[in-house]
Amino acid sequence: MVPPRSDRTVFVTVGTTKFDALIRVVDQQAFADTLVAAGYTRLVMQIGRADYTPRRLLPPNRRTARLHNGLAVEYFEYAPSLADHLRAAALVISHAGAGSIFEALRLRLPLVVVPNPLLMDNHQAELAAKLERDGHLLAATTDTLAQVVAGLDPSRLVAYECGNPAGIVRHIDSMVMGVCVKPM
Amino acid sequence: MPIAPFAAGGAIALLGLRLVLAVISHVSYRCRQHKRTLVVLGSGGHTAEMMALLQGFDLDVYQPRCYVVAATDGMSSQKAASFEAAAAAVPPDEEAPLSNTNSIYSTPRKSSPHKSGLGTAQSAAVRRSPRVAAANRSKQVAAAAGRRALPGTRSPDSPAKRRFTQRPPPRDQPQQPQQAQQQYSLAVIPRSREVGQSFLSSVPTTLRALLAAVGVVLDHRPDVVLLNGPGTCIPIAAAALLLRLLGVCRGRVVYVESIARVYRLSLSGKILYHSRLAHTVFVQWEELQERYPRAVYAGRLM
Repeated sequence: MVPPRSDRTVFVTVGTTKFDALIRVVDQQAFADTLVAAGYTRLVMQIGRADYTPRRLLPPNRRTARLHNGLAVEYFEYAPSLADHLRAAALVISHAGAGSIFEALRLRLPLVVVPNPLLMDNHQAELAAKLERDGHLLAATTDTLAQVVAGLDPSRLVAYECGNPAGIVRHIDSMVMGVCVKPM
Repeated sequence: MPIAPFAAGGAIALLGLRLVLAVISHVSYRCRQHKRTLVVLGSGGHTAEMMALLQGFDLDVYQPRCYVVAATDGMSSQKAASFEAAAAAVPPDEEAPLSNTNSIYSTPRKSSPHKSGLGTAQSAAVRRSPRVAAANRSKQVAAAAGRRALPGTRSPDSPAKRRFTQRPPPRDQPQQPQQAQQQYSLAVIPRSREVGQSFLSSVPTTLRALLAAVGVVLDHRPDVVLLNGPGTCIPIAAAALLLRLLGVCRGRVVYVESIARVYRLSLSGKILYHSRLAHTVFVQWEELQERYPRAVYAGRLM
């Protein structure tokens, strides 16, 4: 399902985790108004294992809706591949999982990362903080998300240069092959 | 009846046997071009990083490959099967260097558009693997690998260790002259500890995992062991050490800390680093390398 060209989609993803707090804060009229004011036309939520299903922006038992302010809203739990949704997005709001982060950065998408406060002993917040310090994304809490999204300027983000296994492989090659007879 | 001479004789005989095993293993290692590789898949993001790492290897050299997965992990065996099937389907590139340092870490099937420091070419990973027979054989292999296996034993015919070999073409078709067989296998071991499991109950489960790990390492006799994840990697590293001491395999243990670890090593990383069970601990951020000087920073996987 390809959105029309004038669409600016915000894609919210929690991967395979349970992050009710993020969905709750996104599923609010005030947040929807913030998105519209910032020029976005569509909000897609991938809610994963959340117990909380969006019910403030969406009518009961409906997965899609168009709000009075013009924002199109939809949600789903999982998809076999999030790549299509990511490619169609103008902004990604993600939990702090490394996989989600790097998938968005690889596609050069503006990214706001929200570490899950319930996983604070989890190291995930370190990665988000480091990448924010290097200018590749913005980090936010559930409380500051609306402000961060409103103030986001994609042109001020630094593109992330993707890594490469070659360095590690060279090391392993020399360790493993060092004693071997050279091939012809 | 004096015991000492018999004990001494027994000890000398065992040492002699150890020496013979070590010589055989070393001579075999030096004479062959390929390196037996054991890859431990740690589930979830760890498997994704390991696959990104494997994209950079010369698969003709690092084989036969055995993938070790935890009994509770359904996805990793499928990812390994997809990787192997994709690698087998790529045509050979005779110009490639020993390890292809130009490979980009997207599989031939699903490449996502991105700019890497190596250029914007949207090429699949280049391999030196020879062309193999029918594509439908690759699909069969992938489907076979998708089946869950029972916890590990050492029998080659056991469900726990399946060998996946590319079948030669049917007889009515002409045989290709260089039909080198790309072969990989899959082994399943129980996790030593589930997330949140109490330390007391971890002891018997860790021992069980260790026994299974010894079985796998004994069976595969790897030259190099690649680890990057939690749970399943410590028993394998310990088993590799044990079998190195016995002279059964070379088992060089390489641990690659997750890219999600910027300032602190994971528990597995700390154990392998401080105990020196791993010959090399790779970290993916310079900050971590400053903190752990014996670790190696050689770039990032993602």
